[in-house]
Amino acid sequence: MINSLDAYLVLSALLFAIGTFGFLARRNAISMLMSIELMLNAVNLAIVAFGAFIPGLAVDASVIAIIVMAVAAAEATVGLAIVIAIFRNRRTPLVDEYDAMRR
Amino acid sequence: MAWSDVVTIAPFAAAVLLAGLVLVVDLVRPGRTGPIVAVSLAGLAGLAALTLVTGQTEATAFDGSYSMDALTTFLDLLFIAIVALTILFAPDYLAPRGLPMAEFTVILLFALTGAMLISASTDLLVLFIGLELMVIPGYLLAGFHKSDAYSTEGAIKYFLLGSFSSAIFLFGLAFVWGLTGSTRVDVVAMRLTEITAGAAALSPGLAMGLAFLTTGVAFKIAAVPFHYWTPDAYQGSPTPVTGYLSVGPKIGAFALILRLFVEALAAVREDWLIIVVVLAATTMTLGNLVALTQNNVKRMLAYSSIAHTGYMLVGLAAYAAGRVEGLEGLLYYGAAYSFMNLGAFAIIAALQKRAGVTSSLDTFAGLGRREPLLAILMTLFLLSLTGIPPTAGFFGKAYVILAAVQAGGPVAILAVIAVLNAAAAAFYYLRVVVYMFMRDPIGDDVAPTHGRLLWGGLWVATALTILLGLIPGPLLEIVGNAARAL
Amino acid sequence: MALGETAPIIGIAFADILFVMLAAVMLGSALMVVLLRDIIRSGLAMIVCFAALAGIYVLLQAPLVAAAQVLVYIGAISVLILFAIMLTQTKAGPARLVFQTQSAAAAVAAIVLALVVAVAVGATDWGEVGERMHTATDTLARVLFDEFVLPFEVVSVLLLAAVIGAVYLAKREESGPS
Repeated sequence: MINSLDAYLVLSALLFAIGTFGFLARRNAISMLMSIELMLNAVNLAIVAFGAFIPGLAVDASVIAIIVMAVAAAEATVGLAIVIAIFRNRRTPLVDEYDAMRR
Repeated sequence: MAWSDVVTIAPFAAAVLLAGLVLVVDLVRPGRTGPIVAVSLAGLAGLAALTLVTGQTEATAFDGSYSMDALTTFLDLLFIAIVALTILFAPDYLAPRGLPMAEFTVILLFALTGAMLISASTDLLVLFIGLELMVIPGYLLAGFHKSDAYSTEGAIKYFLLGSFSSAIFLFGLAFVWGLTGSTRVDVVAMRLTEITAGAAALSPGLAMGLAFLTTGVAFKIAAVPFHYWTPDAYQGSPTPVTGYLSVGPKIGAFALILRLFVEALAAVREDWLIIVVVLAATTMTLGNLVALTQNNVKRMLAYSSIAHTGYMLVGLAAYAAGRVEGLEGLLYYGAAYSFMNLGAFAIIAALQKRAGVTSSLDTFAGLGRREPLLAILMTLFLLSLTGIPPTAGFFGKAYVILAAVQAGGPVAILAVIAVLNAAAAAFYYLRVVVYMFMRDPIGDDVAPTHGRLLWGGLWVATALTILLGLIPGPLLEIVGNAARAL
Repeated sequence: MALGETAPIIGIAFADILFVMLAAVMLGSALMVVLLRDIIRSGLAMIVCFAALAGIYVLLQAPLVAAAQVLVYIGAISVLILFAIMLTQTKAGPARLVFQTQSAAAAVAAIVLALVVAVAVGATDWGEVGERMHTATDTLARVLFDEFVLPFEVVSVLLLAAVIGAVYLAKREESGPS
């Protein structure tokens, strides 16, 4: 199993699905952000898996994975700053309760 | 990396340096709006000149991942114009609320660099990074009024939706790269051509990767049904930011579609034609229908911008069906739409100069009597949005619909839907005009004086809206070159 | 004492056992991230998930990516998320308050998604699939600064923009309404 590309990609798919569920089902904005981080990790896993098994892609895979990590870090930074800013206003991190505009 | 690479990438690098320069200006003279606006506008003018000069020759850089061609030049100039107008419209809104112009401008300029990178990239990874560089400053700008509950709420919703769609896009990108062996768009195109020519079968993995890419991009242009939180994000953001978001990242996302799908998926054009047709129909119709029910002008314009995305998708569908005029129409419409939408939002921002003024229809009541000049300009922008001649909006719509009719088949049906939608849209656009001229003003506040920058920007937007409608020739030639560059 | 390739009694290769263990830990902790009601435990489970992923990257012969995973995800992003959780602390509540009303539909959608991708993956013929291939770090470094120099430099611009904006949004105002 350790030498099968399919196994790693299925693993990546499962992680991506778990992240998607978390994003759609949780109310806390930070939980939703953690779910997005899981999804991005799933993508990284897929990229590194492709690099390990498909001839010629090994080096590119590591570089692309590291760059995706950096982008994920930037996104997490911005997201958390926004969460802190909105918490100061609304005193709740629950996305459902951000409904000021629908009224 | 060679010197020629650096020369080719000069406009993008200059944009990054400009952002840094504005930061330094704020360091030297903290808190002063004047120097910031002066330096950024001068810098943008220089950037536009540099783009024009370097755009004379086509070139590629960085081993084919960056391409400077007619499309790049057109899109770069359009983005520079959008950002310049936003900078003109912002101080009047930010100053009464105590928001710093410097950070606003710096973040906006970083967004510009992202958009410029998208318009030039022919590599999937560079496209993705450009996309992130364009939208992450967008999230920050949406929440710029950080003490306002609406603004931060809009920002968190915009951020969550945007990050979710970026993850989906990236998942698709990983599979497409894994299966074609390269991030270069032309290599992907070559592999796909081999497949459709019958050399290889379209593997399920590749099809799935393309499906994920499409879904991610559909989120980015806020096509229906992927538009979920976009109206909240637009309504909550500070009004100049809404103006920018409804135009800049939207056209940036279309640039992504052009660079990715048009180049890479040219081989399977018939397959994604039907997807584009369906998306265009649903987007137009839902955007217009919901806009009809809105009483808040900002939210109404947010839904109307979703409808305009639908019209642009009609142009894309016409191109997918084989007419390059569809692509020209898409680009022309993009430019026309930018100026008229920015103008409309600028006027809303002007009316909200005093903190606490909402953007509901009541604010517009009796505007014809309170501030006649603003009311006339708003009428012009609304007429252009509806598509009434001789405005830019009319020519853009006409060109796109004409291309759709010429394409025939399902796309011609799309043209009919577009015309019906435009007619329906007239109702909610012109309702604002009715409020302005035929209702009495509510309350008797003295009309605020608006800054020279705001007026300057408004006149520019007005002039462009009229000129692009009366004399479409020059721009038509430019977009023609741009379309043929693909 | 040298261990053979396969475990003595069971007869499965050690490498396979390792893969299954790491995969189980990773998926288990990921499920904990999305299902636990207490968000602090959720954050800690996420750290475990990242660590398991780092182990899997080592199995995939990508040690530099594994190291970056530990440094960046566990060392920086997770710490940042835990800080934000502390700053926006709410009590762990009953499930009604933690999950949205559409959770059941979301679960169905997620399962369908996983199945679709798994089927697509299984049905795809990957061509020649070699052994897990190793990348020398110096090759990686050369490629990073040679082929991928443009993405590399632009990512630094992206990080700068993110930091500037995040500092602006998160800092407390000294004066004015809070």
